[in-house]
Amino acid sequence: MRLSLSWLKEFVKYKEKPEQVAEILTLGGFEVEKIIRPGQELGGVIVGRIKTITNHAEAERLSVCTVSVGHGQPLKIVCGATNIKVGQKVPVARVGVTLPHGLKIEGRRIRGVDSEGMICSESELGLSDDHTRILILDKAAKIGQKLSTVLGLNDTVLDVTISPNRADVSSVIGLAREFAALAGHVFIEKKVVVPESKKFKINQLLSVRVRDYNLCPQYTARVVKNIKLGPSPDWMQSRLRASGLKPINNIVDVTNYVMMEMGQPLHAFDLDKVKGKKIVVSQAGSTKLFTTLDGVERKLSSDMLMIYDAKDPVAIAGVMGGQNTEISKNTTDVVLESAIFKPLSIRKTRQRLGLATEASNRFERGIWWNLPAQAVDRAAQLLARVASGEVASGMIVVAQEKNSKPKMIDVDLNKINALIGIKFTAQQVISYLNKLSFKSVLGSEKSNWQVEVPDWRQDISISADIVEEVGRMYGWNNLPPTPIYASHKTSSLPRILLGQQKIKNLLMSCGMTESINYSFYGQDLLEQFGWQIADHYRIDNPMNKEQEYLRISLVPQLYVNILKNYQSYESIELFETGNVFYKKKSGLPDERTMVAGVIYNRRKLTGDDRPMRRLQSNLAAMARHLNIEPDKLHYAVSRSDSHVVDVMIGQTLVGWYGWLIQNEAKLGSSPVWFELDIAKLMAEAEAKRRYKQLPAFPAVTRDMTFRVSTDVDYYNIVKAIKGVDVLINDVWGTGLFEESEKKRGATFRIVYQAPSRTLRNEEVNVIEKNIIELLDTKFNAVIKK
Amino acid sequence: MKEQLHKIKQRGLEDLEKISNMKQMRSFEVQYFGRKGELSQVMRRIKDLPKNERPALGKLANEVKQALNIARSKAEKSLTSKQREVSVIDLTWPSQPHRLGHLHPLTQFLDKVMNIFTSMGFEVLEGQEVETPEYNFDLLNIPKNHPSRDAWDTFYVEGGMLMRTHTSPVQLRAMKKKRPPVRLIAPGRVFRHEATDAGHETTFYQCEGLVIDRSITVSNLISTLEQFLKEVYGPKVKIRVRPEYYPFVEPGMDVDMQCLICDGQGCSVCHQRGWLEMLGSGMIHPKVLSNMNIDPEKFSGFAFGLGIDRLMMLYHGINDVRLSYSGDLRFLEQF
Repeated sequence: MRLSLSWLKEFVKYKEKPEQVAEILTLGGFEVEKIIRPGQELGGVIVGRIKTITNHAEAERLSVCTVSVGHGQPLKIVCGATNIKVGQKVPVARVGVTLPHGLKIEGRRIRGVDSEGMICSESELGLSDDHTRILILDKAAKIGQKLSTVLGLNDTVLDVTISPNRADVSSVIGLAREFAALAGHVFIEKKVVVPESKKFKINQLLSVRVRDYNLCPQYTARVVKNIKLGPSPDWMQSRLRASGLKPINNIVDVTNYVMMEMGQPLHAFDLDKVKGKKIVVSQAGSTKLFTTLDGVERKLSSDMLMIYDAKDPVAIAGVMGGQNTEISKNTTDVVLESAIFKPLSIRKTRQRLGLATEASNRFERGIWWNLPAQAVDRAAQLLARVASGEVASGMIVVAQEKNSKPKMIDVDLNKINALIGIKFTAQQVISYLNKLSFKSVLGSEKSNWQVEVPDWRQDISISADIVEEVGRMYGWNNLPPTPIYASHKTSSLPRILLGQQKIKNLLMSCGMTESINYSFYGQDLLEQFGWQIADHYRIDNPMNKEQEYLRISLVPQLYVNILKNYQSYESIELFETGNVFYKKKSGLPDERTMVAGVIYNRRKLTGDDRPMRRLQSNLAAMARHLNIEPDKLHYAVSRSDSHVVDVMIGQTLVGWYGWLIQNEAKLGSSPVWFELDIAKLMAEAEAKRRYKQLPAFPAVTRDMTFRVSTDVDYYNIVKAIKGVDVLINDVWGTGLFEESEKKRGATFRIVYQAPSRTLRNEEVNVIEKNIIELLDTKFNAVIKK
Repeated sequence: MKEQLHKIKQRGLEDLEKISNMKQMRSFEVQYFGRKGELSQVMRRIKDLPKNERPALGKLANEVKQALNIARSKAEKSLTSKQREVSVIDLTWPSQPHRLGHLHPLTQFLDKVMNIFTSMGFEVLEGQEVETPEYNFDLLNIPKNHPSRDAWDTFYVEGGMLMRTHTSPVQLRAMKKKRPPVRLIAPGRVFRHEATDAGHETTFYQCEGLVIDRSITVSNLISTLEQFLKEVYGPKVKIRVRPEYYPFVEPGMDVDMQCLICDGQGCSVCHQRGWLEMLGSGMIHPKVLSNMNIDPEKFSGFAFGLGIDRLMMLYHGINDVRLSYSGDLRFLEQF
């Protein structure tokens, strides 16, 4: 909400500078986003009078004007607008002046004519979007005067954020009340006196019917006759401009003015166009289409609340009026509508129509009971004053209940003090609440009493709300910070988070860099990985096609990360930890926290530098770092996909790794990927290591090389060798070489150790013989000498 | 025998002078000090001498051995340094550093946040990223079709679910099992259906906190959050508290920190305001306490929400929130 400070001054006499007003409001709960000084931006623009207009000799659409600006020679200005006439007063920007949008006026030759400035439109002055017509000023404007003075833009405007629970402060009066209370000033209440004309009685001019009081609890109307339509006075126009509204004519301007001043959206219908002189508030029912006053035909749904005359719809209640009863140049008599509509209904309607207006915003937040009558009086008063209207005597108020009872809230001083953390006296609290127009009703007890909530404070409903009022009046920043005194419980990080931290640190030490990607990806990407849409959760309202499905793996986006970086990086090693979403039949998704990584090197490497080798070495390091028994980690080619290898811890499948073959041609080589389920890993991690007695006798280490078929897994051979004798302490592969398509050579290092003696060579020879025999029978493996 | 010892010493010192490489040095050691070396042989014979001669000769033998040994180690030192001079060109030339990766700045910052809060006795909790409207909104006193819901633009997931817009549901779910006193934080990924720009992302990280006990006050809230901000940004941090509306707290407030770049004078980082909005907070709304099965008459508490991305960006001087989710190595490698 844009608050004009000159308007504010009408209700609060204050001396503070705009910056101080802004700070008082901000610390009181009404955050001032910006202090705007519209006049400053128009500093160089002055009033000129058009003396002559001649057609441009070389351009049909341009004219050449001479404009007097008070002193010196009249300026010669080329202008393209069609609404100018000799004698008009117009805004002129001379050479050297900078306009609000940053346009600097320079002396230019336009089609052979020197132009010494610019006659400005509203859009060029930053006043509205209208760029086709020149802003024509009032005849009373003085030549050479600053435009900002003429338009009353010497005002300062605060841009205030209004929270959704405070309907009352979407108005000058609302903010004035708050500012007065917070700053310790007096709020000046203005009495509205409506000059009613005895000639007309409203009941003879109009009748109103409300079909559903639930949707429209109150409908208030007045009729003003014999209005002289025209522009509203400058003071009104400049206040509307300062508030961000465009002046239109005195009738519309008055309704907008009252809305800004009091917070009540009003609508003016042309009484002549209201058929049957009757207003009916009802749901749209079978009405399907309606043209609003912006000229757009709107599709209605049957439950939208509408305003009808005796025959046709005339407005979408609380959102926008219709073209058919719009104020036009022939309008003399108007119906002023000032109503309360059910916020929820307005909200639904404006959402479905995609049409949020100043009116709908205020109806949605809720209008309090006494406001419509006050506002319609104020509007009638202003129409009489600025448009010579004659107000018909009487007011129509259609409502189920005539009055609303004031809300009473219990106040417990001890509770207030207990929640805020310092000791207020009852006197202090009562005085704060008084300033905010809460009336205290004291009983016999000193620390307990009731307060009557002012009717505009619909946000106040429980005693905690009173705590807030006391707190912000005292000033939260005056409160001494006090540490918590409470029993202290120890706790440790959740297991998965702990695992995640350990894994991240380890992979970082292994040379991998952490990436963070969205939880969503698109159909394109998931299909590149050969997955089905049916296995994914769909976002009902995705930002775009690339973010339509919840990921079931972290790998695709890491792959996209490679594509993003591969041109500048020869080697890319990325990992991510995060949640994936497995589909379940019902209930919330099966969310798993995964760790995934990709390793890519543009060059074809050999040995342990190969991406696949690095990946495996990282997995082994991860297992060790998580305290997983090293023997338990092993790999097996997946049964479902021969490009994928299962990562096993003992009998548990914890994840997978494999090649990314999607884009080998472009990347030069295929990256490798892995993805593991952190919860499953952590389930295998041992909390602590158990100490084993140091061996007292030396171990014997020997290598053996076998020729084996390519379809025998590494892990199976190792397991078999280990099973041969209890004296075999450790076995691992040290070398692998291709011999033919079906056979390969594999070297194993075997450590033999006895707990109670030094092993003799002969003993080891016997075990070796047994190993050879076993591998021969089991895997058809042949020892190589 | 005495003479023999003198001779050995004499010859040993002469031999040392001639040594020019390590191999010769090793054979020298064997020749003089080895088990069957000259000195050992002489020393072994001392025990055959008459008792009165033994001490003097033993002493002499040891002196000879020591003298030779000192000379030997000197010779060896000069030998190795000679060799080193030849092989090493420049001691200051660096080697390739061990290849380390990088942790994402969000991870690093979130770890920092968790460490601070756990040191203050907070427990850390995690939860699901897909939630129900009940836990994300209803139980937090954000009714359906209420304008207050507009503050949370939401991604909806098929089947009537949604991407959580804050981590509050984690706390609500936790409070099904817990009783006061509680002090907990819930860090995690949250989602908003918003057009992205330098200041807005659809995905970001949040850390919400909750404290419930008997007689928890607004001044406890201010103290806790001030301590936290000082721990992160340094002891000079100045904060201010201003009322703000959040449906799940009453009273609700925002905590601002004086801009660190301009000391409150106004600059582009703080949009000329001098203050930066750091976090939202407030005393837990009695309705929300009741929704957690906690009696608001007996207990009170406060809640707060930190936007990790924004705090992290301020910490490192990053000006575009989207960089965090870009997967751009040029960004990631800076941390």
